[in-house]
Amino acid sequence: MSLFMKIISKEFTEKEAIDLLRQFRENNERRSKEVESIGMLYNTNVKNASERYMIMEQMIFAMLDCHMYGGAAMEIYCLSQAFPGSMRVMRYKAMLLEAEEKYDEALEILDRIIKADETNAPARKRRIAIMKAQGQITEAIKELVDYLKKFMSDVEGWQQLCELYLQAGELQRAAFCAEELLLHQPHCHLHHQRLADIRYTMGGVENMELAKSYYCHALKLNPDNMRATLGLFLTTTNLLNHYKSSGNSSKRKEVWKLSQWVQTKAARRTALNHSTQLTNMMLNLAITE
Amino acid sequence: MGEVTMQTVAYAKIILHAAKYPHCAVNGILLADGTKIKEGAKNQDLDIVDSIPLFHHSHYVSPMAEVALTQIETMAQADNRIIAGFYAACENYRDNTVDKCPGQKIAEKIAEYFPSAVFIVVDNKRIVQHLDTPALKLHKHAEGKWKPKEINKHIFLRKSLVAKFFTFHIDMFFFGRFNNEYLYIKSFCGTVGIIKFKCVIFFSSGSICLRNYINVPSEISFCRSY
Repeated sequence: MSLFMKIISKEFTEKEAIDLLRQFRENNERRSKEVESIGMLYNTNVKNASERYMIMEQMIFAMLDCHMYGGAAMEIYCLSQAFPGSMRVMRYKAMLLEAEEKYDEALEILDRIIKADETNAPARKRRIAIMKAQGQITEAIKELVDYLKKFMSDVEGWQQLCELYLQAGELQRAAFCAEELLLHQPHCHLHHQRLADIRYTMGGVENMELAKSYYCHALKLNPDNMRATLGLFLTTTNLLNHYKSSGNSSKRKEVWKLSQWVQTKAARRTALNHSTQLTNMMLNLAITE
Repeated sequence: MGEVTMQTVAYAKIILHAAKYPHCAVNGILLADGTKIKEGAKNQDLDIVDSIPLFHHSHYVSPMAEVALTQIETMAQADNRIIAGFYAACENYRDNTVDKCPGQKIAEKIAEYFPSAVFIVVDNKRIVQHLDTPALKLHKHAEGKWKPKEINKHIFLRKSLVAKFFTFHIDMFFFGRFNNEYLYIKSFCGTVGIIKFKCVIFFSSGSICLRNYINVPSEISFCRSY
């Protein structure tokens, strides 16, 4: 049974509902529809005050996502009664305006927050989000670069900048951001894979060699990463083509070995999924010695 | 000549893909029935029989697109179908034009191989509870550009089926043909009548996407019998 059905048929106890909300919050999952329905159907009156406010905050985000501005406004009002003059609550007001597409008013509030508190990182991020929502990619990039000069350790910021650069077609800069991400979280296989993807897209032998190493590392960290497996397959095929013409035998041998290994790995994986198509496709693509 | 018709399953997959990732741009491939296609002729009638959702992130890097297209081609050949177009939905609610869509390079490549190709842009504004009119914008490739084309009234051969699908089967799971981790769609449980969200929560999209590619959903069932 789907989660949604469970929620509306009230198969949860109140405690389970609250635990689920906490789980969504901790894993940073954007399941707005579920959060909103749980919040609506269960009396989430938690005794622990700090958790109660956390849930209210979560509800505000969820309701904005589901276009329920009235409900969100009510929650924001309750919070502003509990915490008069709080910057955090001010930010929610700005978010409500932003959701209603009243961007100028939202920016006004955010500017007021930043003026009062220079170190308010979330408010600065919201400014960038507004630019992104208006489709002003170059302005958003400029603002985000400024932001990252001040808050260098913001992983999400680097990730966003990487995506914006990709969107603007500046692969070299996107690669720099991806490297920055790697420095912050060296054990995340997805960052390695992201950088390898960018290097592959840039093309050229040097970039292919780099992509190969990063894909290998991603696979070392998580052997189940299918994207890295397939990416490595493409990269090695590409490199083999190159070395075949340029005749670098030692490198060629090494890449050949790697290519064979990744081919069997990918084939085994797809065989488990009962699809022979990929295996066939790979055989078609593979270069025979 | 040049009429486009569309099967319900193709349309449903496009809309559900956009609905599952309301905060992301999405794109995918359209497959047409190959039996009616003449080799090399321009401006042919197309019958879009299926669509294959591709990405909701990593739009601007190429490796996975290459793998996906090779796989789709193999599969399409086996079923006597051809890759006949591309669909995309933009991230922002009000962007409903071709040049804001991701993956235009893929679309160009498709048009290179198949000159009568179509580019479908999901019209975010028209995705509402009662889908009276198709929430799509159709574009045809002409002189190196995507030119808008009126949607024929009869784009759906069996229109009643579309309405039925969206009113009675809102809580079912829907699944693409591939079982690989990046080629699935699942109807989000709940109403299809949800409107594409605007970019509201900053940066959380990144973490959500990462979640999606580690976990393949456990609650998948095939539902093609409607």
